[in-house]
Amino acid sequence: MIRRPPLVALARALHLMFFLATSVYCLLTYSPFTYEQFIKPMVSVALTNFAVWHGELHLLVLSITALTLAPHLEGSRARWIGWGYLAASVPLALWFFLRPLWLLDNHGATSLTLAVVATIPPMWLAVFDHVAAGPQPQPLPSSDGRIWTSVLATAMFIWMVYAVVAPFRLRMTGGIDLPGSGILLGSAVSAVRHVTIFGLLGLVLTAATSLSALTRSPGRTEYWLLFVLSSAVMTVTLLRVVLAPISIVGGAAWLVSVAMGLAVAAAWSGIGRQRRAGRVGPVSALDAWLAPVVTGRARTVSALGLVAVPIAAQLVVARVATFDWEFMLQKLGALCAWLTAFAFVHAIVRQRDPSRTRWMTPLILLGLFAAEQLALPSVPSWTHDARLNPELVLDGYAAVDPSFRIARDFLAPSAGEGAAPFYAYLRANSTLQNVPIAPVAVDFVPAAARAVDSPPNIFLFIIDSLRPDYLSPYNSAVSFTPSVREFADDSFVFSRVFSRYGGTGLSVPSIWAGAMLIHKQYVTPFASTNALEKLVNANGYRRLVTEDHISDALFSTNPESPGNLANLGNPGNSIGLDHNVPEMLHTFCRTMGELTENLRKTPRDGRPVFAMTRPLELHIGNIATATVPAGESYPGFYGPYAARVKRIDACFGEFLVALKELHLYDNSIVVLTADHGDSLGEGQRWGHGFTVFPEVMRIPLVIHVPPALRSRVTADLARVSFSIDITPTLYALAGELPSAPRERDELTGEPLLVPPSVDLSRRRRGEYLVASSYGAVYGLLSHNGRRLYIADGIEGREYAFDLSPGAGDRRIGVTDAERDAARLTIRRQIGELADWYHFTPAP
Amino acid sequence: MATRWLRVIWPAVLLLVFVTNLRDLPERAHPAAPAVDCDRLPPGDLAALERCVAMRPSDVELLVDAGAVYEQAERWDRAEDAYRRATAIDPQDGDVRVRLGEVLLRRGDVPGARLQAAAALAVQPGRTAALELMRRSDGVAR
Repeated sequence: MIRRPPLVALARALHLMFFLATSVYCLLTYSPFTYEQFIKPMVSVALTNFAVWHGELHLLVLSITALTLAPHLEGSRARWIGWGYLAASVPLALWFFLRPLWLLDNHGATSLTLAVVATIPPMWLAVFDHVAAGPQPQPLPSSDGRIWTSVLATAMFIWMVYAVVAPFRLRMTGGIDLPGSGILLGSAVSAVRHVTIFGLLGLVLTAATSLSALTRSPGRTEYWLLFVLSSAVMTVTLLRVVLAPISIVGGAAWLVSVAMGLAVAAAWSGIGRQRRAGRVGPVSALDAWLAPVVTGRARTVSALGLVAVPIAAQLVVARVATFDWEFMLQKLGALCAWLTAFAFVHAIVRQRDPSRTRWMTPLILLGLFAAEQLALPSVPSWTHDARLNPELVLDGYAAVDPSFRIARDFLAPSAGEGAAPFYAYLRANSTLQNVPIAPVAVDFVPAAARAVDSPPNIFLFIIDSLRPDYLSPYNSAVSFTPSVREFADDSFVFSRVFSRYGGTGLSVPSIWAGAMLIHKQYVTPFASTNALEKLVNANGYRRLVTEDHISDALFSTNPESPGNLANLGNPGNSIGLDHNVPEMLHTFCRTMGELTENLRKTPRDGRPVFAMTRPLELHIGNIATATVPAGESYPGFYGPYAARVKRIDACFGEFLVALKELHLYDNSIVVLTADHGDSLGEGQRWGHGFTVFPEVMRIPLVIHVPPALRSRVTADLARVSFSIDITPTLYALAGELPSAPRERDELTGEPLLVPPSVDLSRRRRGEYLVASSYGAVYGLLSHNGRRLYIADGIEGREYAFDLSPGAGDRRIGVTDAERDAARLTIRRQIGELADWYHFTPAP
Repeated sequence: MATRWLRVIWPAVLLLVFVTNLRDLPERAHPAAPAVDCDRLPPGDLAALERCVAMRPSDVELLVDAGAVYEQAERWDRAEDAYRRATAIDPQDGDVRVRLGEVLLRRGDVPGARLQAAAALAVQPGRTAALELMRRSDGVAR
């Protein structure tokens, strides 16, 4: 039996974490987007292990919980609640074993129900703890003076915790050009925002104490008001910081957020009861509420706690930065730092006379914020320093100060007139779920007939997350990709290529379609949209395609397809590469080995080969834990990533040698490209998926063409090009001259290799929509790929980048007119896409 | 009793003021209002073009437009300057290289024209316009 209150509190915390994780997992399976992109491909090892061991973990948690309940199961007022909990846990445990979490499919209602149900056990135990604890001394009303002193001191403390390290983090961060004066400005604004946020907290707490004073039991009322407020804050935090970035919005998001908010607040209160057990004398309601962090007025403990906060805060930032999703974990870490610091400061602060602080302090704080907001836009003109554009400075500073980032998000300024409807429009057209949409046909040629008598082999290598600046044809500083260098020497190297989508989910299907797609994963059946598969089928290609969750869903489900992967085992027809290899373990070297072996062993029957793979060793899910092998170093590059690119290069070289030995090279089109790039620390950003920043959208594209074809085609290698041009280019090389309907000119691809007389200059003045695969974040590429405008409908922010050669993807300011024009174009192109699919967004 | 109610109301009022007013204040710098819409200039309006080039000195498309207008007006030195500025910003722009080469050829700078044709062919291998420029440059050189 476990009786000691600190151990019981620890058990309750473990219990809460287990059920929260269960709820989050169910929520991730509920959303088709997160299910397809995180759960199905097993992106997170920890998440997968949790699901696999979930039943056993539940038994462990249940056993520990039972030990904490045991002392109260006889004679206690709470015994029936305890027995009830245990009785209900038995069928739950059975359910978890019979229907394991890892088998939970993307069934909306079941997942959502489980996500909500998983919040009930922590609430149940909280009720048990409150009843079992028996009558407690009534808490005293909190002191306004102590509250205001605490919020101000905490604001300054938290500001310093992050501001002190911000210059050092900036120095280590690429992609942010912030002068010393900019750091000072960012730091000053951060100070004002922190005192404003904590000032608002002070106002809310003061309102709670004042309201409670009107009741008969002010202390108790205040305590339960704190419970309500905490639930509300937790709900809003979950909605805005956690669920919105993973595109879980609407009624389901509210339902789960409210349930989780209540569960966390209830469990918090229960843990507080355990922590206060045995303490003598009444405490204030706020002290009682903060008991899970610190009990009583233990100043030494609190002071030590305050020393630990900055260390823990910086450790969290360092630990989670590489696999964070839109700064979500860093923001949550900062919020935890706020809470713990406030609890420790409040425990240290003595009782104060409230008379002066009560009236003046909030007025001064809010006045300070108003003054800052009024003065900020004029800073560049006052200082005669255009680099102090507040928007750019604060964006740069927020990248290295997660506490400021969340304060700034909360106090988000309006993005100007028309912003709200524009962002609403973006959201209404993004991550569409449970909306019936019929597939569209993408036909680059009138009929899917056999194009040429002896079509060339096609090897399409889409390396997940491969950045061009880690390949020597694109960056002279790269010395670790000699094979790609050699390959490029007799190939077309397109230097200004962008993916249309910042994540695999839509990027890869758009490559196959040769067109932009409606923002839904997925509109099926995809066969009519899959222009690449039509080409492959029409020309009788023998297919060797890596099996992954996207190719399984979209490239092989056509029952009419002669190369359907369902015909596995028929070597004359189709081969699934990487069969039964977990998707996140797909590596280029392994797949190339399998492909080469197949090419060597399979007798030639005159049919051309179509091979396609998407290795994932550069994916952030793998890179976050990768290391640099001993003896290797990559100065100027992100070592773990560069080391893996080097390995890919070596295997690519071996494959090309094999192709030449088999006398296939001169009759093969070999395409080396990526589905998207990746952030490797630029502006403290890591990974891809949610954003459309330059380093995520820019991809390599090197195309080797058989010599017989090469002499007949030409290209503009430095013109803006897209991944959706690959399929039309393959059509062109197969002897067709594809043409897309002119009315969807900006949304469809076009051949990059054309007869010399074809005009290629048309694109240089076009504006091209790009999008995140997983959220309402869109961009507009213009000026022949030298400028990228980004509209982030989740964060409510807009950016522009100068992508000119040598500009270093510099952030630039935009005028209101430019912003309005960009919004209009983004809206128009999204509208055209919706029209194409006959989709009308909800108003 | 009134004082107790006042203590409840005043923070609520302050919160209300904050939510309804302060959050609407923009964080962006005051932009200088452009006198002309540089993205939608009437064709051939040189004065407007020059104003726009002054406002957006790194806009290659504006520089190309300006170069074309200078060419029409046979102001070859200005056209060359505009194209040279454009190629300095985007050295990989083959179309501008060809335009600059044409102007240089017209001004008698044959080596310069050949250089531009070669630079254009490096990014536009086999393109008719670049090959033609190279051919004519070679012809003049011979």
